[in-house]
Amino acid sequence: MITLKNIEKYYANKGVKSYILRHVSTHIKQGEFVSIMGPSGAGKSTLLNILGMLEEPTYGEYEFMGEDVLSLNERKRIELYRNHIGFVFQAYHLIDEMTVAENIEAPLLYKKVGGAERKSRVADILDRFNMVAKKDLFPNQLSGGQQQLVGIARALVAQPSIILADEPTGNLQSAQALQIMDLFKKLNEEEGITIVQVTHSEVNAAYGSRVLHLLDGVIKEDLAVEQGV
Amino acid sequence: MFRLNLKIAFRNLWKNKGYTLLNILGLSIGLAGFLMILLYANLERSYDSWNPNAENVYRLSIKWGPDQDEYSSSPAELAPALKEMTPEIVDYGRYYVWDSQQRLLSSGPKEMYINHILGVDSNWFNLFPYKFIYGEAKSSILSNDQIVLSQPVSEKFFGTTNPVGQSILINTNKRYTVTGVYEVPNTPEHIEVEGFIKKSSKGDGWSNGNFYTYLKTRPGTDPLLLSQKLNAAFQKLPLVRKDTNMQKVRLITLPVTDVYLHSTSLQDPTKRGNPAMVTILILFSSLLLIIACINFTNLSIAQSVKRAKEMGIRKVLGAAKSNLITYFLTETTIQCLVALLLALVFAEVSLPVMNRLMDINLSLFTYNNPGQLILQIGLVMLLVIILSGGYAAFFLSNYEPVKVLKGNFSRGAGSLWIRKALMSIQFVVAIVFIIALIIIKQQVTYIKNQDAGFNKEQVLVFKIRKGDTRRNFQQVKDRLLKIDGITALSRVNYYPGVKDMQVVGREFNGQRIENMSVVTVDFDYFEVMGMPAKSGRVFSNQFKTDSTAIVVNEAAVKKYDLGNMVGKKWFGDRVIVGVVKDHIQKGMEIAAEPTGYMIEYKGTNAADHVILKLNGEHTQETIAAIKKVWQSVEPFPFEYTWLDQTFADVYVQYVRLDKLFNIFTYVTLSLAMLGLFALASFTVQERTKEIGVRKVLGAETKDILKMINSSFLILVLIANLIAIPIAYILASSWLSGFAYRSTITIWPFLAAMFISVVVTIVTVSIQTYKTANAKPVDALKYE
Repeated sequence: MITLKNIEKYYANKGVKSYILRHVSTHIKQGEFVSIMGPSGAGKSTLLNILGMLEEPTYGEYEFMGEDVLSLNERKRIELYRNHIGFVFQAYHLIDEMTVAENIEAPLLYKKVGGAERKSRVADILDRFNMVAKKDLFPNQLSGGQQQLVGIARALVAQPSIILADEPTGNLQSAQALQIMDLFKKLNEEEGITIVQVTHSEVNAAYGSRVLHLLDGVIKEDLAVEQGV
Repeated sequence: MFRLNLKIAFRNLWKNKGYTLLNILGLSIGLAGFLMILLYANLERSYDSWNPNAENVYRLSIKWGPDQDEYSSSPAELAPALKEMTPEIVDYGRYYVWDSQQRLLSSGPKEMYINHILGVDSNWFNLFPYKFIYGEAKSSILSNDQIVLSQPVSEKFFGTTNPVGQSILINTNKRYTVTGVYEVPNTPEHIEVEGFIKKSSKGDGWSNGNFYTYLKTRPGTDPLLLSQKLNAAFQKLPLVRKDTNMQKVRLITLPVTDVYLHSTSLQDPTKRGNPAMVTILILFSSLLLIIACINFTNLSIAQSVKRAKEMGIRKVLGAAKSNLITYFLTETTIQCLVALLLALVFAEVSLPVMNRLMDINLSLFTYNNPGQLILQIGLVMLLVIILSGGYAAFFLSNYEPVKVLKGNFSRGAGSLWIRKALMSIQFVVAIVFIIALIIIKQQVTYIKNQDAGFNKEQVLVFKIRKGDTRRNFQQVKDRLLKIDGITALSRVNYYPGVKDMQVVGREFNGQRIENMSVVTVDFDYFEVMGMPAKSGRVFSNQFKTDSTAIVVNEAAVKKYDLGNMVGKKWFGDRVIVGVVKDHIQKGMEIAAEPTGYMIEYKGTNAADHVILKLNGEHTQETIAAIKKVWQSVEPFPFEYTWLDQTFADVYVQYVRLDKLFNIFTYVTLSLAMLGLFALASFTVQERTKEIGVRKVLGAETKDILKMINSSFLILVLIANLIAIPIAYILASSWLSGFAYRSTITIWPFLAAMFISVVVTIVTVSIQTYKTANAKPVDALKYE
């Protein structure tokens, strides 16, 4: 599904190149649950952003579902992005001025889904996440775990084929974190959604099927996770 | 999507109530000012547009030679001759100059002076199709005893009843029958008119241009072609072919709708607008609006940190740039529309003030051309939305979501720079306004205090209505002089403030005397006016020969080189008995013109105004006594004016300009302060942490105030540097239009600089003080 070849990313500062990513090559298959780990500054988030088309690498090739992403124009890229990618953030990043239901509906608006279908999809997902009662609340009226649930619901509503999660449990207490990770695992196993998460936590990584260890912008290890956790 | 956008926009605006209010308030003030000036400009440009024939009606004026002036009067014989030879002309109408005088109308016990009854051709209404309420245009002025009245005049005499068939007496001796009443058009007209009669002359011969001629052409006639054809036709006239001088004459056709603003002819009896004034007002009110838009932009960008996160998320959710721009413009549009509503309220409330100021009668909701106004407002609003929302929309939709969401988002130095530049522009405009205001004030004060060259205090003027009174004036004069309180008394035709004067040219000793203004007076005129002789003496009835002598002013001495001519014969064999000082006649723009004064005698014009100097005590009694004597001589209603009041008309437009500029300046300055307030509040927010750290390091509140203030003062000083030369150039070019002008000193510039600096320090300090004085811990906890 995803193929990275020799991805490099650096910032040139007064003639000195400071590398974020070097020679990153990997392949992610449909239905995988990949965790990216590594110390702060290793380039984890940058890699995730490149996968999510929020950033462009300085060099290298990026193929997403058979399309060469870097050669696409803005419009095509947004198209690809809208249809296939869902993002989940550590800080949730809900829009404060929108209610829960409106936050979830937003991606469908940009995807130009019809009104009736939008309503039914939002209702479905609220139902699935047991949040019907909260649909008219604003983000600041929810707990962190609930906000993250909304964040995930929002990522899922557009029926993406891949979810990119940047430390999704980083701001949560452990009980809530557990709940979120269970949800991810369920989505991965039951619906076959590809998941790529950035995490510091070995526990979280254990939910996945594969771990990429990043150190100073280089993939040091690429391990399959032993199942049975 | 649109509905959600709208909903979210409302929520956002509500959440930031303070900013929203500032935004809307600032914009609505700018808009209100612009709307009012727009109404005024529309009025000035709407002259004669009521006339459905307007595009086919032209007024004829004549330039009597390449280096001669253009006059709008022409001989009556011209129009028929031209029509004969030019098939494009389908009709013509003329009015007779000697029919335009004040008349005393009376019907039963009611009598009133009516100033503007025109003597016109019977087919006048083919060119100017007034709407007749009573009677019929076609048959209304076929004979010499018929009169058509405007509705207001008719109502004065006959109330709301139909007056057709009633009779009315003019000047107590000639009886007219009312044949029609017309409705006053809903746009102003270039000719002041209150009624019509048939003109009293068929023509005074080719050499007497005593008529004003209007031509009506076939629809679709090209004005340029018309002008060429008319001039070609003119050259074929038998009269012209004989006279080589006449071959240089140019006929000028001016569309009737252009007469008010664009007529260039001299001695024009029509109302005249000042197109430069209209342009200046539109320019300045547009500046005002632009400043309001800049404010809006600045305030929106200032909020951008808060909005940046939202925009980042939207982008991650799949929003394209165009979605975000649409969203922002929706938000701006809501605010602009609210601002427009508020502006309409402001304008409606302030219009009476402006009406009084400008001596006009404008209203927003009973406007004569609502379609045009709505279209104009719509276009302006579109521009305002693009101007004020465009930059913010572009700016905010352009964020890279990664940076924003990572949280290490800091606004680029670029945006701050732009906001500072925008704020400086506001200050440039505000400073220019301040300087302009001070200079206008100085000039107006200068004008008011300018030595007019005569003493205008306690001088009373009234008109003599019968020739007999003039011819036997000495008798009346003796009677009047017996009244206590009159110190001197005389007669004159063109007293100071009168603009239409007789200008003559004559030959003397083979030398051409051109363009001399001639004023007819009576003995004692210079005593009344307080104008002593500079050399020689003024007229005195001690000398019999003074009735055929002449007194000239200094300008005449200079122009015709009369230095050693006092006591000698000159102009028309008249002896120059003396020279008087120049005085201001027509206004501050025009330097004193060479003028000769003559006693009314054979061959002179009539000195048809009584002018008297009072001693200023018991004025009411004196005037009552004058009235009593006068009405025994002329049994008409007694109307008088004070010379100082009528003379004030020559500069009244500058007093108005001064008042208008007051408003402009205060509004601009307060808008600039609003912008400054927003930017300062934002800078302080942004630097809260820095301020906290500095305080921990030992800075005092005053150090912080100094630091924040200095960054703004630099901007304001730069704005001053830019504004001062602009203001200087504008001011000196404006002043150069005056013959009598104040000099530009350094004070207005220093004052503007001082005001802008003080305003800045006060505004910024108010904003900064709270943060600077807070406990540093609070600021640092922020992290």
